[in-house]
Amino acid sequence: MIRKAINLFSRVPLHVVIIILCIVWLLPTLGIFVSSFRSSSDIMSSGWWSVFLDPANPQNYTIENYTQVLFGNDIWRSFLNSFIISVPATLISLFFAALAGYAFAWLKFPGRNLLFLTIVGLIVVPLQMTFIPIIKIYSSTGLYGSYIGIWLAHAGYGMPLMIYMMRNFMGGLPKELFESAFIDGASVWTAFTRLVIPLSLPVIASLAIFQFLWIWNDLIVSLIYMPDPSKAPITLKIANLVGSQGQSWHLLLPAAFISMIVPLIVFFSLQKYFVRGLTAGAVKG
Amino acid sequence: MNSKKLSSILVLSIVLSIGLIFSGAVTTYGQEKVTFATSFGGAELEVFQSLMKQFEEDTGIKVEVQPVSRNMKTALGSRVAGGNPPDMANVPNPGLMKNWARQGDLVSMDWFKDTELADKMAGGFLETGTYKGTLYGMIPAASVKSLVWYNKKVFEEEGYETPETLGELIKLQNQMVADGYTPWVVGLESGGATGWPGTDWLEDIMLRSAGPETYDKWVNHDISWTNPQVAEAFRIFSLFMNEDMVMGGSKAALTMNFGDSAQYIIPGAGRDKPRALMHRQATFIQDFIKDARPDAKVGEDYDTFIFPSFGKGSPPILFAGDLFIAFNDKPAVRELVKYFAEADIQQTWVEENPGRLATNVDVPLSVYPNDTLSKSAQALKEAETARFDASDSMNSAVGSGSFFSAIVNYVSGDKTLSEVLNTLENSADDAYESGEATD
Amino acid sequence: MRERNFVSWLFVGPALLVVGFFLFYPTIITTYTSFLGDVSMKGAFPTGNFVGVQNYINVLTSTETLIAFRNTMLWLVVMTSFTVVFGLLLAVLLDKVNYESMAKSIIFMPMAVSFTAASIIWKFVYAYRPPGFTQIGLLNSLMGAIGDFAARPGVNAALNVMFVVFGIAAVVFALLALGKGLWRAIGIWKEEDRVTWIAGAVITGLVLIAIWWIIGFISLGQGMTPLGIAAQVLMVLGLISIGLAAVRDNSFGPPLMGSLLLLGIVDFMLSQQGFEPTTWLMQRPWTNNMALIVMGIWVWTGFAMVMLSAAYKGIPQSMLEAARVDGANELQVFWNVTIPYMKTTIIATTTTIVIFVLKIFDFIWVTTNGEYGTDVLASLMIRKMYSFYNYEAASAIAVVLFVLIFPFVIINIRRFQSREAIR
Repeated sequence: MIRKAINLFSRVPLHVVIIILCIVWLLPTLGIFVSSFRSSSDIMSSGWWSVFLDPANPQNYTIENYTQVLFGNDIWRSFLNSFIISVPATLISLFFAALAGYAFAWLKFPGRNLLFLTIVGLIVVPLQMTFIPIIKIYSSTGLYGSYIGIWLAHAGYGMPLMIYMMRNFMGGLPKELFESAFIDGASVWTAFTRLVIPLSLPVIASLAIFQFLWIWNDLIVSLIYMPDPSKAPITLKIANLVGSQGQSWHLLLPAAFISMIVPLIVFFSLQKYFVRGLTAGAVKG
Repeated sequence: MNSKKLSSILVLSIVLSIGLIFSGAVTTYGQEKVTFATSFGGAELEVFQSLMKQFEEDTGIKVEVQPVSRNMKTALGSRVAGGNPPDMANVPNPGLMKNWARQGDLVSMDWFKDTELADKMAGGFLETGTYKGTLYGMIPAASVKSLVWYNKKVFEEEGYETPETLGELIKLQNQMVADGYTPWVVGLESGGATGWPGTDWLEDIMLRSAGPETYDKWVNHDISWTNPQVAEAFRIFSLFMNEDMVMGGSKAALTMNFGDSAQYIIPGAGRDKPRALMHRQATFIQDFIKDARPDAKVGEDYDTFIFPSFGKGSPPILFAGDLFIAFNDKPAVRELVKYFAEADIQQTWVEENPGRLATNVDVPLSVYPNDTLSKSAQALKEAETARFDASDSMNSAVGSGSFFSAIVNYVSGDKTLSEVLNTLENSADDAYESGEATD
Repeated sequence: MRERNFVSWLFVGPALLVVGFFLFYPTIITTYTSFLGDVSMKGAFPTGNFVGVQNYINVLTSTETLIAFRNTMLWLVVMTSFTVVFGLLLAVLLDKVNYESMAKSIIFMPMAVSFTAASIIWKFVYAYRPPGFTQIGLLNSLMGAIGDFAARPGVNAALNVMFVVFGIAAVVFALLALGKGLWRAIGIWKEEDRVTWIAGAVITGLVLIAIWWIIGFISLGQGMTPLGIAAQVLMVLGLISIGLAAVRDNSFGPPLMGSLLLLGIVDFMLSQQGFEPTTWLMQRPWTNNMALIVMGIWVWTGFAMVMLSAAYKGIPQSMLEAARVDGANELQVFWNVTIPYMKTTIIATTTTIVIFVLKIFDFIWVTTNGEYGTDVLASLMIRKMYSFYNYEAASAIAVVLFVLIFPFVIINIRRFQSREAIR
């Protein structure tokens, strides 16, 4: 009995620490969540927590910010655009990275190590330095402003990290697996599709989330490569809600939440992969 | 999820994408098109887009508006350097225009000077869009910066009259202090651009105290920053910007956000009297005042007067505006430029987009939604002198860099006037000589 | 493995193509540009006259670069260490509770918000209004509220009493704990236990960094009151005592820690009286940089936590149980079993975060635009390029960044390549 009590009691600090950390983490976001339901004059004149002094008062709240953002702004089109940009780009990135990861992990070819080092090393390249050279080439090949152009761009930018993680993970698969497959006469492609991919699902799913998040939330790449407003993703739409001097910035609050929904759904639903998968390769050894 | 599913998803998305690519291609095939990159956002963007739709109905030319929000320099800079600029763009300052003109990226608009529309432009606007004798930018709408927003109710109660000369203004602010009010509220904070509202003060003063010719020389760095007339302008500035005349003194001025500061000329909830009475700022500030004090009515609770002239005659006007520039010369582009120079189009533009003033003198004063704006429009038309905001016209290293810091240092008292001016002069020397964006 | 060159190239091909085009080719162009002067971007390739290393000299000797460099190093050290430490802590702690999934999602959420949202979020935290006006910023308001609360007569008296009580308790426990610890230490030192002692020294070192951080951040640029300094030091001493207690099982450790922490909290509250709102993002040189770094930590800790959690869950329970059975307490288990087992992942995570930290520029760009001494190399580079069209300077800075980050990449790769030599 007493032991149980002591156990529980000694667990209290643990819970306290965790809960404090969670609150601290959540507080900033909570701030804009509450503010997104307040009128612009309220936001400017008092802190968002003052809502809690008088929580039941309906005058404190308004959904006008949300209605202004959601309706008449063509935001649904940009939602669709974000999907059109993010999903294929993520899939293409995963596909290329998986192929390359497998090759670097298990196939021998000359210059393998050097190539791997170079590719992963290119993770240091800042995006901005790539825009001008690429625009030049894109313009002359007609890829500028096209969906395929931006998909390939996102794939290229994400390759270093993804190839690194894929290779890490795939390298940890047991050698015997492949040996027996090859003895049975399997081709490299079959080994890849039947063995490697299914076994690598944890890392693939994790990278899918990561890459999807990054592309969904991206502003600058779309701004540069996709000037056509009818193809603009939601991040661009949101940025344009604000006047050139910063007027109506309070509209960014509901917009931010609306945009956050999709990544959060993706994250929540694929969480189990994420936890298990991301560094299974790095753990070994 | 097995590999079969994976591959089918992959195939599906590829098919979908190809379909979308083609659908995108089909709609625009065969129609004349102008691409227009813009920094407009929010409400002004919506108005702009509807005007473009109207243009399409009127002329059959499609305009693809590409908003870049506030990333104009990065987005547009990359595209221009990358050789794939949009056909047109609107830039908020001549400095940017001059830069691209110097690099040869812009096409000349000299053809516009020959049209009748050019004659209708109010004075000063065509000059602003000119660089080295060639016209590169057309300004369809401007905003007046030489405005002072004030609390009308208090003025009426206390019997204050809007000043028309510098002397009257000084007397007025002293009177306000004697009556227990704080005359001015100043907000200089603006993230990385803190100090810019102070440059507007200084420009207004400079235009009046040194005159337009000197002002022009000042913009082009033909006179140095250490010139006594520049120093004089700073000193006049400190007549207004000091501990007694400004709400919260220099500390508040330096740390209060520019958009935040204007609301204090109107009493907030639960207050009887406002914390300050006057605020010097361009027309756009009205949006901020409306957001923070939605119940206040312009014309009743607050109003504007033009920052007075220092001598006789109507005060010179400091203005700002967007310049429409073109990277490609096409008949469609010329159509668009002419379109926005026309009176009725400008009329729609300023009616839907309060805060802007038309540059075509044919636009009647009655179209403006409130007195503030119509007064400003009149001032713009009648002004013997009108000049574009200097900090926008200067080399950006100075105009958007050291000038801002100079204001901050001067107002905070961190540096003496001569130190401030010397620093400015040094940076200007560097900027106007070196390879950094010169103009 | 049989040689299958052709097939191998087919596999690596697509990735090589996109990487080559989108990353490698621009790098070559950038490096080339960094050796030119008076660059013009017209035409297929940048043109200009060859100036050798002049750009590098200009860049490396200018004050703004040095400030940016100093700040970049600051970000590097502070953000990486805090992110990894918090991530590790959370990975371990959350494993022990039922609501782990939810808590993890909360900590990870900042990574899911777009950058625009994150900057607005923190705008509200750091917002400033002059004294006497209603504060709308979270931080200013909170500290002001604490100060007001502590100034209330009844509360004030209570706090002062608690101060004395905790103070005495702390002193007593400190003497007891240190005494006992030293006593045992003298006995233990004779054994082969240096590693643990060195570990304790490292903890203390990290904690000293924490002192520096806390003092810098909370010093408000208004000058530290003696009470304020005392508060910080006390809270940190509490942390050190955790270290000491962990290194050697010392039953006086927890009470000492407890009383020091409580003492620190009380002291902190008392020191906030008369708090004046601060412009967090404008206080140089440390406060504003720290304020921005906090934003980075807030976003990236989730990432570190997830990576480290996966590794933590891979530790065989048997090893942990064995250590517990041997009589080790939780902290010792953590130190002697958990950390060594996770070493690889910790290093991988740390280097990955370092790489991302060095590329950070958005937080700074949008809040202060590099003013007030907050510039970092990445934002400086972008400013050179897009505000001044000084492509050559921007390229030189980019190359400097490459050179800085590259070693970390090598560390990351080399290690597991040597692991694989065994395969």
